[in-house]
Amino acid sequence: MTQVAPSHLQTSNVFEDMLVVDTDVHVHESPGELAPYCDMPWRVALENIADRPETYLDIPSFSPGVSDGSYQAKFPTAHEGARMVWTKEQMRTELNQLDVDLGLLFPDHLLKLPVLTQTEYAAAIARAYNRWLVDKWTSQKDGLLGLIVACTHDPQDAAKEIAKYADHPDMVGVYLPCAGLDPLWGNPKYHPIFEAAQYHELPVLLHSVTVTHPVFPFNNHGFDTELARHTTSHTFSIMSNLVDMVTRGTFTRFPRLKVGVSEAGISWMPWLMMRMDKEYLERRRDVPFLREKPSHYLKKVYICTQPIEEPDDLADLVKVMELYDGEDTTMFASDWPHHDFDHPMKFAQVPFTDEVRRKVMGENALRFLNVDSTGRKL
Amino acid sequence: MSARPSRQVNDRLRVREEDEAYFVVLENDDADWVVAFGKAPDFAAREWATNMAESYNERYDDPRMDAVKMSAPPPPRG
Amino acid sequence: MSETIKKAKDSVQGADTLVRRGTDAFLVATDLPAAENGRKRYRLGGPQDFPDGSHRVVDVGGRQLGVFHIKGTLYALPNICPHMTGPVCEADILTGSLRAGEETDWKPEWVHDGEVIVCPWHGLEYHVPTGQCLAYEHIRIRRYKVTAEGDDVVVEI
Repeated sequence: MTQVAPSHLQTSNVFEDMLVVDTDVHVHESPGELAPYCDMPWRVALENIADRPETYLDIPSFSPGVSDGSYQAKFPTAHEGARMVWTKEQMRTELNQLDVDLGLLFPDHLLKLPVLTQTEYAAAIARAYNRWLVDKWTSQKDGLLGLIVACTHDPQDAAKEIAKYADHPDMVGVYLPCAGLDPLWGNPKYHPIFEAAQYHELPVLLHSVTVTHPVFPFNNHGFDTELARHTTSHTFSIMSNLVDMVTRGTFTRFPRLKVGVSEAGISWMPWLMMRMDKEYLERRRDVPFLREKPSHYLKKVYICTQPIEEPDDLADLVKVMELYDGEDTTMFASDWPHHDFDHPMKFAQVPFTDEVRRKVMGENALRFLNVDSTGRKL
Repeated sequence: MSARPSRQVNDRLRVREEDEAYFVVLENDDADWVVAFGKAPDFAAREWATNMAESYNERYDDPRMDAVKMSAPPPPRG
Repeated sequence: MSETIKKAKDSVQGADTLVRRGTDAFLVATDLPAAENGRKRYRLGGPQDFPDGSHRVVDVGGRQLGVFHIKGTLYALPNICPHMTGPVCEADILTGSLRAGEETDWKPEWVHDGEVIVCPWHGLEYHVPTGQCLAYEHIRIRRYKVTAEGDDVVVEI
C-alpha cells in the first residue's frame, strides 16, 4: 500500500482570501417578467405568451428553436440540465455557495436573440431586458453586475442603449449575442455598437449558445447528436466571429475597445492564433489595414474559461494558457446555473502559480470590466 | 429526521495506491474507500484519484461550499 | 470585497438552493454495535423507509450515503461523484441507459432500466448494483453492504 501525495495543493480552501469574479452567470428572464418593461405594441405580445411553458430556452415567439437537445430522442435523466435562477436573491445565495464574490449577469433566453426575424420586436425585447435588469437584478453593492444587451438587428438602437446605460453604476459592459447571428460581428453594420462601446469605455463580451439555424456555423443539422452540436456551436461561433473581426478590421478601427469571449473554453485559442498567422503570410493583401499579425490582436482578447477543458493532466491547461499568452487575459467563469457549469474549485487544482491563479480568478476580470474589487466602476 | 449537519464524506480524502487501482479513501481510515480508479494503460487513474480527493478537500473546510442537493423547483413564473 | 458581500457570504448556512439542500433533508441512521470485523454498523431505518424502486440519502454517522432499493436488493453508495465530487446520490430518478456495439449490430439498446443514477451536476452515469461508471470502465464507486434484518435495514461501513 502506498500513499499518494497530493499533486501540488498544499492547503485547502484556496479561495478563502482570494477574490473570485465570475464572468458568466445567467439570470432567467421570461415574457411575463419583461412585459411591464416593454414598449407598445410589443408588450401586448409578451403578455400574450406570459404563461407559455418552457423546457430550456425555448419559448416560441420569445426564444424560438431548441437549445436542449430536442432534435433527438430524449431519454430520462437526473442530470439537471435546465436549472434556472429567477431572482437576484437566489443568485446571490448560490454564488455565495460557490465562493464567488462578483457575478457578471448574462441572460438566458436572450442568448438566442439573433434568431428572431422581426427587427423591431427584437429591439423592443432588448430594451425591455435592459430596463428589467437594472430594476430587478443589478446591484454593485451585492456584487451583481450587468451587461447591456446589444440588439444585433438594429445597431443604431443598440448604440443608443449603450449610451443610455453607460453611466449606470451597475452596468459594466455590453453583451454581444452570437447564437444564430448573421452576418458575423466583423460586419461594418455593427460599427455603431463598437463605436458606442469604445466611446463610453465599456468592454464587449461575445456569448453564443447552441442552436440549429440556417447560418454558419449553426447549420449543424447534419450532426446526429447534441454532443456533436454542443461541441461545435459555441466554439465555432466564437472563433468565426473573431476571424471575422480580425479580417474586417474591427480591432484596428476600434483600437481602444476591449473585447472578451465567453463559453467556448480556452484550448482553441492557440490553434486560432497559429492558423491565422500562417494565413497572414500568404494573404496579407486581404487585410491591408492590419499593422501586426493576427495573433497580436487575438492576444488582446479576454477569454472566459467555461467550459474549461479537463485534460487528465491539469498542467496541460497551464501549457495551453502559455501558448496563447493568456496569463493576463484569461478570466474565470462558471456559467452558473447551466448544465455544464464549472465549480471554482476546479481551478484550485490547476497548477498555476498563486499569482496567475489570482489573475485568472479575479484580477483580470477587474481590469477587463474596469471595476474595483467591490464591483464599483473606476 | 433531525437538523444536523452532515457531509458527503465526513472526513478529508486521500489517495491510496494498490497494485490494481488508486483508491480514494478517508484520511483517517485507510480501509474506508469511496471510489476505485483502476490502473490501465489508457486511463489516467492517478490523476483522476488525485483530482477527486483534492476537489473534495478544497471545500471540506468551508461548509458553505458543501454541495448537497442540486434541484429545487423554481418560484412561480412571471 | 464589499462588506455587504462578505456578510452575505458568511450568512449562508442551511439554505435550500440549486447548489445545496438544507442540512435537515436526510433520514438519520442510528448507531449499532460494531461488526465482528470491527467495521461500523448503522441502522438506516425500517423497510418502510426504503420501498422497492426508491432511493434516498441517509445521514450515516455524519456522512451521506445513498440507499437504493432496486428490484428487491438494497445498495448503499457514497453520495459523492468521482468526477467533481457532486452529490451523485441526490439524482431525482433512477433510470436506465443506452449501449451499442458489434453485438447489437451497432444499434442502441436500452439497458439497466431502473438501475442507473445520473449525477445532477454534469451527467455522469453510474450503474448502482455494480458501482460502475458507464463512461469510464475503470471507475467504480464503493457499495456498502446493506442487509434487511426484520425491522432493521442495516449498513456496514
